Amino acid sequence: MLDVAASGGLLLFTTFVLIPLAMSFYVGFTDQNPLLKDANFVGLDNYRELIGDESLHRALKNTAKLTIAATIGANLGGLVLAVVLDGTSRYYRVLRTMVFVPQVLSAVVVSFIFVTILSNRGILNSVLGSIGLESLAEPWLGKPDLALWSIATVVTWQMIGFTTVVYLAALQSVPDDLLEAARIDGAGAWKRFSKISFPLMGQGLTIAVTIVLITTLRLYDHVAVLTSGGPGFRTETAVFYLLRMGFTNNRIGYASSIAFVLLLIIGSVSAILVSLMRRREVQL
Amino acid sequence: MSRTRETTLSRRTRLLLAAISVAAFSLPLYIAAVNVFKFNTQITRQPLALPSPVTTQNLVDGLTRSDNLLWIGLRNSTIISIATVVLIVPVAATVAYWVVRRRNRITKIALMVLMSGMMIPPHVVFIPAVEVLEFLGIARTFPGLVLFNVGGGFLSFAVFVYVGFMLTLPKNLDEAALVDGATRMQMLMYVVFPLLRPATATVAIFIGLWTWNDLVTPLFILGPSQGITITSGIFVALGQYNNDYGQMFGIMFLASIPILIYYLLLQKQFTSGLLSGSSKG
Repeated sequence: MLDVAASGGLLLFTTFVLIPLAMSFYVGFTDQNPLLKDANFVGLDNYRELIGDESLHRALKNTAKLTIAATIGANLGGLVLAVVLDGTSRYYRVLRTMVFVPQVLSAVVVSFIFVTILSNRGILNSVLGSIGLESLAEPWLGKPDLALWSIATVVTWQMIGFTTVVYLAALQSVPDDLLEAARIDGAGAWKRFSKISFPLMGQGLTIAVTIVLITTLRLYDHVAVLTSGGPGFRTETAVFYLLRMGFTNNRIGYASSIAFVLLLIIGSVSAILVSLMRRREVQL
Repeated sequence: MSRTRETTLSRRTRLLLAAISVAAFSLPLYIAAVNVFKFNTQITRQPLALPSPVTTQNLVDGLTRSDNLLWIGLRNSTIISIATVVLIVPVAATVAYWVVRRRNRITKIALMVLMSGMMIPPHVVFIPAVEVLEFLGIARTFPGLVLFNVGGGFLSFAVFVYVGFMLTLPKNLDEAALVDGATRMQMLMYVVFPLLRPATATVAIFIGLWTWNDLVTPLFILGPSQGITITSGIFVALGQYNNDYGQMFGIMFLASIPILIYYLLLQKQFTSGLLSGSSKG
């Protein structure tokens, strides 16, 4: 009876993950397109095309840049804020509550707030103008390179809420007597953090790095609101390009081959990272 | 004596440093909050200033839009989020219980496959998933979206949380009930499930939040013409009314209020949920 009940969940997973994956593997070898009558088997044509597809390469490069920037930024920022907010009074509790707010808001809301800040006639440029720094004003979302860093900043900002909470929890799980013993032995604040607290925060580091990485590897929402992938598709991420090919350009066959390649890349990057992070954790 | 004063002073400096850091970090939220209550003219001329005069026009505009975006979105998101949570909790708990108590080669493989699902962006299965839903006759419907959420998006995470929690439960607890002649299913329902409450809270809170905030799945699985959620609705409206910042701030504010209340009420569970994820990660 338990086996029958459990198979319900497995059936759902099979229906909406495993079968679709198998389908996209198969469809990736066809030229399926809802505008055409029948799909033809085209062998490795799609895979040959994607090897030379500059837009896909750019989307992958953007994803890599965003992932690296946000993973480093959100983890450093979260670690610093966690150390700063590691107090016991109720004031700290209120401050911690505020830091987590960006994380519960949707990416759409957060990104819209930043559109009003970063757009050409947005708040940042008008503030720069009013304090005589007009020369520093930039089209933060209008220049491809700059726009990519703007997206990275927004993602980092939102993810810091999450990493701060994780690092705070990790910090607070470090035994006080260890820190106290080190203090009596004359270890300064930095030494206590770098030699005792930080090495013991391994599990927190694993979860924070992994979640930020998995989230940014599949980044879509922020890009959709901040730049719509523009200007000129230059800030597209990998999944953004995939969905544009599949749903906007109707190239189901080609998009399926891309989906399969993304699955392999994103899946293996995440898997390698998780096993690396686990290995370096220090247990008490 | 002097030492106490010194620590009080440094304690105050520390708190001040913490307050300044959080104020700087929260500046975008301040901008979002003050502009809700300003007229468009003041938003463009003094984006950082406090509202003067204070107006609730943006909120009224948001609530009385002719397309009823907020009301329809709130209703649809509530239905979809609750249905997703109500369905995924028993499904994931059952799968997890099966994995933890049966423990054979099949459950090991099943768990491995399910866990690798967490690494897969749901985006890569959207295109074929729409075809599967079409085959089942529920494409572009709420049940279709909910089933996709449960099976395709969130099951791996939910099972992960439940399995992690169940491993910490003493095994003899439900073995005793087995001796008394209860079936495995009865045990799951009456003995184990009530003990899983913390894990259920984590699953419900996070999956509820993610479903509410989700943009891509309703956008591509449901399709914007078939019904909007609060998040996909805002996204579509952004494209159309990008110039009326005041009204957009009003809509964003109204759409975020339920989430903020939800967060403030369940704050403890939010953080302990993250912790339970990290200690078992």
